[in-house]
Amino acid sequence: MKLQNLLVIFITIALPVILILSAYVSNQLDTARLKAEYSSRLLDATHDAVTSFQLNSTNNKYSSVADSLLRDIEGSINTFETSLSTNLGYSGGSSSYVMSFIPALVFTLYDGYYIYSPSLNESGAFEHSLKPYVYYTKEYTDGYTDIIINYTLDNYVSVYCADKRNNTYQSRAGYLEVLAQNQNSSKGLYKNESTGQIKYNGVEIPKDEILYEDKYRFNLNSTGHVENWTVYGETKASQVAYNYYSEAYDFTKWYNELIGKLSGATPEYQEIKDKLIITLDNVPYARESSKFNDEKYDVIEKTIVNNLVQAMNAYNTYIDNEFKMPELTGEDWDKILNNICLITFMQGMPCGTTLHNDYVILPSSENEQFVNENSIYYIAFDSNIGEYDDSKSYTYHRIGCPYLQGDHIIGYNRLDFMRQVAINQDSQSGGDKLKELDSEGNEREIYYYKHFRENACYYCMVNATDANIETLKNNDSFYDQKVLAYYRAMARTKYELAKVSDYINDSNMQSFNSAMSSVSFQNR
Amino acid sequence: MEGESLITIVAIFLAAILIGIFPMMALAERNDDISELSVQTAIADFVNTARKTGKITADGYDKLVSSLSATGNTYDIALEVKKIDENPSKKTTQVDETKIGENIYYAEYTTQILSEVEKSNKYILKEGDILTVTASNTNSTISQMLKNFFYNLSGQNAYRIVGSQSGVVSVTGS
Repeated sequence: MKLQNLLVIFITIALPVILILSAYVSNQLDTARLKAEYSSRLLDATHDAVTSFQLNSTNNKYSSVADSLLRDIEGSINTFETSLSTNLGYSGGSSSYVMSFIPALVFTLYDGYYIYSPSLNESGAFEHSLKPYVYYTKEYTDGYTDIIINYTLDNYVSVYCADKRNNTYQSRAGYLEVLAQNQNSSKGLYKNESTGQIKYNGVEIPKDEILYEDKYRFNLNSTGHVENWTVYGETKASQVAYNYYSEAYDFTKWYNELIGKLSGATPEYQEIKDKLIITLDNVPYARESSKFNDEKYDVIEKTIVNNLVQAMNAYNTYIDNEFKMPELTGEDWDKILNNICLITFMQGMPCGTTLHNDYVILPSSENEQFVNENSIYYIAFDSNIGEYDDSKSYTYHRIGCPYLQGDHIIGYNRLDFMRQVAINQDSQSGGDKLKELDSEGNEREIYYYKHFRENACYYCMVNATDANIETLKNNDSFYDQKVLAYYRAMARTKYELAKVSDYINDSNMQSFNSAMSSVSFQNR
Repeated sequence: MEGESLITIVAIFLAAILIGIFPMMALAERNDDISELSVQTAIADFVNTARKTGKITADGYDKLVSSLSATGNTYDIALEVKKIDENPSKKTTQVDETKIGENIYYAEYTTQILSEVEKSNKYILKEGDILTVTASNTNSTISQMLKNFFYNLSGQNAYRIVGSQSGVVSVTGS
């Protein structure tokens, strides 16, 4: 055979192989790029939704009220839909096409969660809808006493108890704290019931705390627009931190007694008691390992997974390809169990030659539902609180920042350092947004800061250095002031969060309890 | 007769190129494409994880390095974090904080970031920061060598495999 023939044979075999291979590889490359892009778009849309939730709930005084919260959540869902469909090039009417690849959005909040998923509507079509709020709750019973505990992300619990033997019904909500053995204990909460003295982890919590806030006075012109404004400081005494510890002490005592009454003789009941009674070894604080937390996390995990699987199953009947709930990793759960989160799932999105499945869990750090140690910023004053020396520049810090130095340290919720919309608090036009006219005569909203004069510290805030109070213990001269500020600020900000289950501590509810107690439970 | 031998020599030469070098080049290029695919995936993973968790961890960076080196090449990984400084926009109540130009960013680069990762095992990012990661190969791949055989590639930007990803950090790390 001639060489040319060999060449022709070779080319006819090799060329298609090379061409096909090349097309295949470039196709795979495109698919991988598209996958990365979809993942990134889902993350972006989730971030937009979280930001929308944060913006709405921080500028909404009533965001802890159920109806109002629902509005914020719906707003957040809308943002997600719009952001995702626009990012993927399906804006406008075709956003429902993109949403058909979203089997569920889950809002895990302070004491429960919402699932937004498709289900059959009246006309027999699948449509996304917000499912009712589900609490992180579990019932414990020994046959005589039924105790229902609603858990939250931190140490706040609501307890409902029905004792069938005495026909008594009790319900109370409050913060659980570890109780100290005596006045000199370096761990736990101590309260002298006669003098009212309170010590927390060995640090005395004084009754009064002086707080400082910038106040604004807006002067309006005849058309109702803001002409100019002034800032002035205001100090006030607050007992909120003290009240938090005082009430937490009473509540924990009541709670421990209640759980201790569970009288079943089998080891099972002993186990429940071991898990739930708060002791020095069984702490209720977030991120600490204890039997109580294991139990709480177990309850939260199970309820979320069960409901999510149900929602996904409903979705599977609507689509052709089978979707399995992805296995959430330990790191994922760590985020969910310690933060308010938005979890978004995407599945079956056509992507090159394959289908793309993905999920994103994004914690929200700025909201009025939940605080943790990262949600509080601190300001240090030399001597007189609220008296600023205009020649100095003031900064706010994280608690572990070495540049936080001063005799009076006060912590505030980080939301107070965020920009907020100015709302008219006048009695006549109260509730309207304040507006001013710009140089072209257009109206614009006015924003303000509750702490206007302080800038973010470049070491701990702008640079986001990891600053932990524990690392300062032996080498910081202001450690004592910082610890007191930390305990007070955590207590104050937690106490000030409005909780949905607060009503059960109301006097009305207590009289309802006594009315309930006269009902025979066996016959219910 | 002489002309025929010349044609045969040319034919053999052509055949050698077509049979040997051309498919080799094509395959080597595909190999680079596949490497680029895994580089791009590894970088996208790394950046998205950092955006979701708010931190660059020593673990995550090691994973990135090992998945890059699994492609058989050596890489130059460039990290850049643009940190948002919101202080300047606080000075007035009237600016729109989302408007471009109102906020100021300053940047930290690979050595600063990696020295922090080495020191405390993580580099914390905050919401609003921008993370960019780029990796390009520093060795010459087979495809590059073959290409150099025919036409010389030189200069600083003579890399063949490059991956890059960036994004705004969605959550403040701790």
